[in-house]
Amino acid sequence: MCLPSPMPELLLTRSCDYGCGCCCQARSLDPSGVPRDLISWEDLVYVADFLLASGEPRITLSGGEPSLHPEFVAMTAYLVERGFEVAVSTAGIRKGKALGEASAVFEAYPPQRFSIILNLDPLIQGDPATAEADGIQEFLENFGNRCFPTIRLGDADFDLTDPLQLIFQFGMSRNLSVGLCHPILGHGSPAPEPSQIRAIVNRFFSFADLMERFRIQPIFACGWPQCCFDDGQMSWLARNAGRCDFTCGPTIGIGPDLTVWPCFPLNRFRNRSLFEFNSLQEIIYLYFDAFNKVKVEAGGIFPDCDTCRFRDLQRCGGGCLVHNVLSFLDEEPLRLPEVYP
Amino acid sequence: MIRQSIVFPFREALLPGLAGLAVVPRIGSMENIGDVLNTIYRSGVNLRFLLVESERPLTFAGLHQGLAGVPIALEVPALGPFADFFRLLPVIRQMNLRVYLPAGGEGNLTSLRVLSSLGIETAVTFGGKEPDWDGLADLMTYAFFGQSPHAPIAPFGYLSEIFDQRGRNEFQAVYFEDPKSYLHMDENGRVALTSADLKKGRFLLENIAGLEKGADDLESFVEGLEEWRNHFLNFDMCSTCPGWRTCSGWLARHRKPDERCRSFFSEVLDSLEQQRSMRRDPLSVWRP
Repeated sequence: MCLPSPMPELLLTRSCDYGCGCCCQARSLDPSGVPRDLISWEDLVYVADFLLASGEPRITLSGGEPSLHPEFVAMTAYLVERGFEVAVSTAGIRKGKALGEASAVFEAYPPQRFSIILNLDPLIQGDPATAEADGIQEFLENFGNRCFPTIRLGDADFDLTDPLQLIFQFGMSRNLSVGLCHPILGHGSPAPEPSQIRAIVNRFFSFADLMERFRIQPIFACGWPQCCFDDGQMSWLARNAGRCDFTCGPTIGIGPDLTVWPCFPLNRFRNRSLFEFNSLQEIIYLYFDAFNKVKVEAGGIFPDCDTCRFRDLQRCGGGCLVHNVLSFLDEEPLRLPEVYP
Repeated sequence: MIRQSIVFPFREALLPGLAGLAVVPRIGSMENIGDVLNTIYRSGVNLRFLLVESERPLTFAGLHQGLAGVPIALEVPALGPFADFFRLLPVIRQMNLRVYLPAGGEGNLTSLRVLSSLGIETAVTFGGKEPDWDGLADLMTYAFFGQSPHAPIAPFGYLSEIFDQRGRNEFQAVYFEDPKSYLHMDENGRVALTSADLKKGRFLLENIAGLEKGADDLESFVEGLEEWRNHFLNFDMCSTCPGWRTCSGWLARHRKPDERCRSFFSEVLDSLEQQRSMRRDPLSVWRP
């Protein structure tokens, strides 16, 4: 069996001061400004050892907002010095001291060893995020050329003009990762109904001209159902070197307390401790197997998914698995035990 | 012939008497290290390593590119801010360096683990503040069983190398206190077996010249080597310690033995035995 090899994601803290609409960690920073649930150095060393012993030299540092961790710069530098290719998933390092420290330390690292997955959600989510967007300029002046932009779309009412201009202006990677907001297990964060996804896709492609002008190549991340894209949109993606991943598989998240889970929307699904495993492959296998069992029980987010030929061909995973898991919770528990949280 | 390295406080006047010997000059900071090295190299002594007893954290101890290749044992009270440390790391990685950190210093057990995982050789020192014994046991477990390659953490790495399941295992050489490997000299040229003897004024000889034929035949030298027997003659706490074979009463020089150090060194012994049992001897296949 050929297992996927996702880039594991480590949360440095669960606190976040950004207000991205479809995130369960949004605005979770204590009013005192002191971040909570911080990973310790001992645990960080353990994670680094664990991944290297598993033959995995890549890691994404995430949160919450990872730059809120008081040791963010040092911990990131540590992982780079251990030989990892580190990607930091952030909405922008805005704290003055952290930004100054980060600039001084990270500039020595080549972009392939240290990159940034820049979450542009605060820029496209309207009013409350405007103030946050102002602070991002200084960050981009320092790190723009290391940034891989990403957005997550939660409804059809969005404007990509500002994010696309920023990508162009600050020399970010032209590969724009486009995610879909999904419901989060155990959390009431808003997410679009499956029936709204087609409208979101159509709205996205209404910016096709602008993307062509700025040479932006969108990459649709996991969880998008293929049937929500029409042939014209698929053809535009192919012509403009865009990509799409309509499959759904575990990506492996590790919490500050070394809890593990299969992916962000399922961060409360069959949680285990990293200490229970001997290698990353064991964790991937556990969740890969659980995902397959969920897919046996329910084909995807639409009733037609069960009989879809693209699903049979493994071209499409039928949307994000969290929809299926959530639907099981509303029924009598008669399914395979592995499919329940 | 003198087999031991001579540990002495750096004084230019002492160098002529040490010509041809292996020496460990002790200095208090890195400030004038260039001048110190020039003087040592001109004097005809063999520099084994420099022992630097710095009062500043590692990050601010004054390490620089020009010291690449110079063997240094650097005793520091702490690591210093991690962010500054990582700026210095490329320099440290080029150095022939072992960093000594006190186990009782705040955050030092974490620093030791981080340094080791980055490939920098370290050593835990005792004395001063009481260490967090549980944290120290975790560090010891990491040193013996860490799943990813890392630099040795003395004394655990050293014990692992020399461990003899049937004998005593002494690690005081890590701290330059093994009379078979090191002798100590004061600023007046008097020689003692250990730094503790030096402080107490228990000298082996008044002058290094008296050691021309080596120390092995000196009665006080042999007595010093056998001093560990006093624990059994006095029937003190160390004499009944299950971890005796790893500590040999060494820690009793720094603190009053108690249940915590007994329990810790028993765990060290168990870990060493477990580690040894995990190492399989290569299967010997017949050869034509």
